[in-house]
Parts: sequence; structure tokens; C-alpha cells
Amino acid sequence: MDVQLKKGVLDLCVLHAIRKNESYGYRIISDLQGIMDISESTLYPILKRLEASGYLTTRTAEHNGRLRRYYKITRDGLKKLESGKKDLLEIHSIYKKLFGDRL
Amino acid sequence: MTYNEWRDELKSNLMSVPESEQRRVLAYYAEAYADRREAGYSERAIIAEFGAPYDAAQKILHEKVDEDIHLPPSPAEPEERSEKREKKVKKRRRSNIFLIIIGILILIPLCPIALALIIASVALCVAPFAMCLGGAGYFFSGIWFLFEHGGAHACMTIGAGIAFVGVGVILFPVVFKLVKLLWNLIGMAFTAVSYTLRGKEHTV
Repeated sequence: MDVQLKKGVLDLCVLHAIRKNESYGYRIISDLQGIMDISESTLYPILKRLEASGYLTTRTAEHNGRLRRYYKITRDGLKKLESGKKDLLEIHSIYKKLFGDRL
Repeated sequence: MTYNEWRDELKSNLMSVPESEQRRVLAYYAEAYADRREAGYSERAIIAEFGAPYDAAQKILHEKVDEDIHLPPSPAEPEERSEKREKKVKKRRRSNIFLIIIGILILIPLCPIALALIIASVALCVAPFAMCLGGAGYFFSGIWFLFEHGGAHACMTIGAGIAFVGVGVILFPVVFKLVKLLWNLIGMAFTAVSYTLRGKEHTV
């Protein structure tokens, strides 16, 4: 997949994973298994970029005697997710017009 | 490789990153490691999942999505900007080569010093045993002397034997701690040099 396209899709996947409830690193990776298999090394820069863009916020809380960072989507993040969804639908529609149901 | 070794190698590959960011990255991986351990993964499986520390560091430094893909400069980029980037890369390569040479120069005297320390630590280990054995020898020869000849000399030999054995026994924990300290120092020195060499080797 094209690098820039993949970056955009991964951003959407991560925002989708935290759209309903805040989540944490390993949970996000587990939730995305089967959709986009990513590792911690790939996830970290995505989370950092989304936070810098204001699409999510973070907080640290205690869990089993250690600290865990939780990620929560913001309003801007929800808007980004919605517009990303429309983009994907548009791509899907263009694909169907170009190639039909053929893979 | 253990997780701690993996983490230390990641840290050494993130030296160019501000300390606050380094702490954040290390905390991120510590959390990821702990979560996976809770989920039942073994240390080895987790490290395999994390990938090579160098590659993890590169993703953080360059926000790469795929390890094998290097983002090319965009076609619209002005020539001056790509020339500047090339100059920076060449400068970094020169300083890296310089650091490697320094690292090798440090290693050359370090090896015989380390060898001398290792031999000294072996000798130290032998000392308490030698004292105990020597003391026992003195003790028994004193006993024999007492029965054969009697007198103060025999008693002195017995006393000296007991004293040597006592000192030897006391020396055991002292020597153990000293040898452990020596080995730690040798290990730390080599680790520091190897981090310098390996950390810069990747960016050449």
C-alpha cells in the first residue's frame, strides 16, 4: 500500500478503535487485529501524531500497581474520523466503478 | 536478548532525541511490555513482536509506517533543501566515523586493563582458600609438634593456624563483594564502549 495512504488509513483505524471508549496501547493493537495488523513500534508515532493534531488526548492512571496511558478521542478526532469514513467510501465507490467486483 | 537489554539498546538508539521524549518512549514500551506479560506472552515473544530496537527507534525518529520504506523527497522540493539535507547527512557520517575511531582507541588500552583486573580477581578468590588451608596446615602441624616436643612454640603454631583459618573465613564475603564489583566495572566499561560503537555504526 502507498505509504501516505497507509498512514492515513492507520490514523483512521486508531481513531476508530477509541471512538466509543478511551483505550490503551495494547488494547488498540488487539482491537485492530484482523483489520490492520500493527505493532507497538508502528502505533507509537501514530498516537503521537494524532495527539499533536488534537485528535486525541491522553491521561495516565494507575493499573495493577503501575502506570498506564489511556487515549481518548476528541471532538476534532470524531470529525476527522467521519471525514475519513467518507473518503474511504468514496475510494470504494471509485474502485467499484473502475474494477467492478473483480479483485 | 532480555527485555532490559532490548530497552537499553532502544535507549542508546534514541540519544539524538530530547530526554523528555526518550522517557516517554521508554514508558510507552514498558507499559506495552507489562500489558503483554499480563496477557500471557513470554518475554521472548514480546521482544520478537517489538522488533529490533534499532528499527523501533527509526520509526520513532522518522515516523515510518513500513520498515523498508524510506519516504523520498517530494518532486516539488527545492534543490537547496535537498542539498542542505545531504550536507547534514555527510556531517553526521563524518562525526560518526570519528566516534568509532575514538571508541576503538579506547578499547585498545581497555583490553589489557580488563585482563589484569580479571587475573587480579582470580588471585583474590584464591586468597581466602589459601589462608584457610595454610591455617589448617599450621594447626595440625602445631598439634603434631605439641605431642612430639610440647612447649610454647607448639601452642603458638596452633594459635596461628586457628587465626589464619579465622581470617580466611572472614575474607570470603569481603573478597566475593570485591570481585563482584570488579567484574561489574569491567562489564560497565565494555558496555559503554560497545554502545558508543554500535549506536553510531547504524547511522553511518
